[in-house]
Amino acid sequence: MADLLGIATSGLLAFQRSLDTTGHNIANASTPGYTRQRVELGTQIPQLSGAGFIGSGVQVETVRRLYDGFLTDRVRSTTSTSSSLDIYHDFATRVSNLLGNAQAGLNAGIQDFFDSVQGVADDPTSIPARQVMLSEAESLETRFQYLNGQLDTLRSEIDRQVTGLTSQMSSLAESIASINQEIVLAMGNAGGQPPNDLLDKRDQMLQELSELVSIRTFEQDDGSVNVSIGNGQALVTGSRAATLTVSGNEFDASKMEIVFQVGTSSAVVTDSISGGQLGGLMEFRAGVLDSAQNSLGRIGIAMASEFNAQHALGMDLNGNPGNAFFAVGASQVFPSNNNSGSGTVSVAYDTANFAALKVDDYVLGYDGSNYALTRVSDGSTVPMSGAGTAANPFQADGLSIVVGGAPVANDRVLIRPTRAAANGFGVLIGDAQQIAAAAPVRISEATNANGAPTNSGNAAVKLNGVDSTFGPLSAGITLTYDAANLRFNYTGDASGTISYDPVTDTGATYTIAGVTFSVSSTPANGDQFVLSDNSNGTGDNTNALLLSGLQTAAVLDGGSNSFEGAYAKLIAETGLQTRQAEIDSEAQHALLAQARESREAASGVNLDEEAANLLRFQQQYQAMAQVIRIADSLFESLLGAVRR
Amino acid sequence: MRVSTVHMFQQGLDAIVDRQSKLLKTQLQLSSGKRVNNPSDDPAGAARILDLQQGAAITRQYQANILAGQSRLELEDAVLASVTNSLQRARELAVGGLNGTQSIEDRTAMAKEIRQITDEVMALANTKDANGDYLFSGFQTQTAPFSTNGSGTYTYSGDQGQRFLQVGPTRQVSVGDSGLAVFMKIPDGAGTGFQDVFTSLYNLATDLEANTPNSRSLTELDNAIENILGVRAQAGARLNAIDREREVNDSMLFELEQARSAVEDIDFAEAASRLSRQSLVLEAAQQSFIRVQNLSLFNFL
Repeated sequence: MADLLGIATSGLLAFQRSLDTTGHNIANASTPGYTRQRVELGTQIPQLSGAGFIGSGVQVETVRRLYDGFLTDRVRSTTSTSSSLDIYHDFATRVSNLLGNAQAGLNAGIQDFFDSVQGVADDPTSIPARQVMLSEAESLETRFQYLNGQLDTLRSEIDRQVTGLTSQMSSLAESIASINQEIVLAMGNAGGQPPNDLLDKRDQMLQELSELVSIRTFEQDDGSVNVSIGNGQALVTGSRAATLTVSGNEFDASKMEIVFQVGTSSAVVTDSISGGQLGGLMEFRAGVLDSAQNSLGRIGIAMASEFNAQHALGMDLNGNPGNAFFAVGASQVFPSNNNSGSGTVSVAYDTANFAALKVDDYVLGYDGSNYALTRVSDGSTVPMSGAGTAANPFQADGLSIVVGGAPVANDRVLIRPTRAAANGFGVLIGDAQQIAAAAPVRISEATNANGAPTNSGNAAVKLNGVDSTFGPLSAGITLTYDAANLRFNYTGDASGTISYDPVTDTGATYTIAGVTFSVSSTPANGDQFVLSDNSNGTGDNTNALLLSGLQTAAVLDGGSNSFEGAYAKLIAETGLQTRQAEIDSEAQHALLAQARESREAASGVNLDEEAANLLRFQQQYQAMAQVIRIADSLFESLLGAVRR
Repeated sequence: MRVSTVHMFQQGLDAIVDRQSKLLKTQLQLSSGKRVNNPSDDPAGAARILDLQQGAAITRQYQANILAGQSRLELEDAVLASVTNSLQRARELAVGGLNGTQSIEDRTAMAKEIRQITDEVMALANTKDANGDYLFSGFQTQTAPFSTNGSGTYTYSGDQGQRFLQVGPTRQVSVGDSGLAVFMKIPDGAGTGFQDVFTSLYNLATDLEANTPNSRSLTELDNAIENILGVRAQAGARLNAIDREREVNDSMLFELEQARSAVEDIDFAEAASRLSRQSLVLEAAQQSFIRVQNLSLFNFL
């Protein structure tokens, strides 16, 4: 009976533990990272008797955590991917909505501006029409600056987030290292029994860390866990943790790089970081933000330069050649702070070749004897022609690069041709009179002193425009037809001949001294045409028409896109990146939900199950109490027998 | 399979949130009337919409150019119509002057009227448009094109510039004629050179005053009227041309608008039925969530 009491007591204790654990499960049903626990029961060592082994009750073997390392790992890795995609999608949406906004977007601004140029072409002497053109140009400037400013804001927001994330990661690493230590101690103290709740706590920290960055974990025999990030940089080793900080880029101090630091040694790990919010931010910065801002800048450069070039070929209301209409943004050149030489690099746009200008950034490296240009986005080498001198600059991807000074081997400079160019876009002309709507030259048939025509043939000439070789005419150029030789002889500011056979050449185009014109019909012998300075030609809209034609000119992307076309392409690209991220992120959410479901299926608390367990353990506890009662009554019976 | 209570709750909640966001998207589409509200809704479509919008905006600008051109050409035509009337009257007087029965007094009176007509035509040739620009001075719109020394010498101070306007993607139409083409480049009576219309009128008046009418004047006036009619016919042809261009642009606008609408706008019937389907699904998710959450063994303990 003493045994029976012992057995009953062991049962009472065991089921009390079971009830405790059930209660613990219920209490923690919604604690994040909690893993349900179960009391593992076993029989106590039986007693040997003459009749063999007699059972001596139940004992608690251990309190087990229903944990599956594989499922937890899967939750962590899908979490990393998912939170990376989420933040990428979040930021990409902002860029694509910003650029695609019908009110703030660039396309409407470009359209309004060119409409106003046509307004000037419709009415070149109208000062109000010219004022409208200036104010549309200014609002175009505002749009460029606004969009670029918003992208800059995103960039500094990313920098802030990265700074916050790295310090968060460092402190999580610190906590994991110290909880590692606690776990090792606890396991030692408990004779190898697992400190379940500490393990849960650590898993939860690892889970939080995996939201920030993709990690790999390695469990050690002593119960601690090692954590590595990136290309295997050990963030946590046992009870020691590394720190992550940010510092300025070697070229551009304002660009934040992630630095991994153990003790006194440190390394830049930006490129090897992947997954998690940090990875998503880095991917967004390199994949969406940089190229969007570069694209915007490129449109600004091409538009300002092309417009200026045509504007310079015109004549304003004061009779002067067109001044630069827009300010053109400039390339940025950043020497590495590791350079030891004193080389200089200057970068200009190859204005004849905007079609070749890309939205990439480049690194120009010097190996001691030669320069090499590398594209930052994919690390590929870009072939350069030329010698790098001012007379014969390096030419590559629409850039002219002039090098000088005394670089030494391994010196490098970062070239960002278009990044800041949208910010440099501006309007330089403030006086409506200075809009060069007229051509600087006019072409007339000869007249006498009273302005009466003197030609007898019916030939007509029409001005098409001037090119950059044109210089102001002083005496003018007179073309005289020589019918016998089927040619015009011309004299004045330039002299020579052009052949013109009215039978075959009517409508043909000629260029003299940078002036392009067409001749049609039949001139009589001695008929004269005069190219002269277009003084007082205020009603001329020739150049305004040519300026307005730039709207649809395909000057970008190898001659396949207009300014608006390039902008539409930018919107399509960022829209596509956003859409892709959205789809990927949805898919990843589903995977994450699945991974969580599997983990929860194994480790989560089901309250109904716990309720049933409560009932079961309660019943067993009550049954054990009954056994004690029986033992007691047996004992009483025995005592009664003896008492009698 | 085991299901954890928290997971059950979370999954039910996620389903509701997911349905809500889909419903909201449809609601946004319905309220904006647009299928593509953000570029990521349909990236290729968004770029296409921009292209189509640009096409439509440019075409609308051509229409504005056409209006400007039309009013210039109509002004020119109205001025030249008056000039023609004046010259017709001068021609009648010239025919009358040649009649042998006319006395010198009659001819002097006629000459007086012709001097009047000369001034009229001169004033018409120096017409300014609404902006104060001379209509017939070529590009030098601030220079009065025609002047006289008062003794039969007339001078043209403009140039031969002709303003063109863009009225279609590849179409430029001139919206005016220089004074040289209208008033100066008129074959003279001898058929050897050119004589301006003012000199012809001046000579006619002088001959009548001297009582020596010359039939050459009649030829010169005929030539002048013919030249101006020719210019008017050309201007009329240009008006017709830009009118046709306007119609082409109109139908272009219509088509661009149709194409844009097909890409950008929502199919209301489809979206409305989607909305009601989605709200039904959301309601079902909400109701089932409540039902499932109410089930617990603890209720029976």
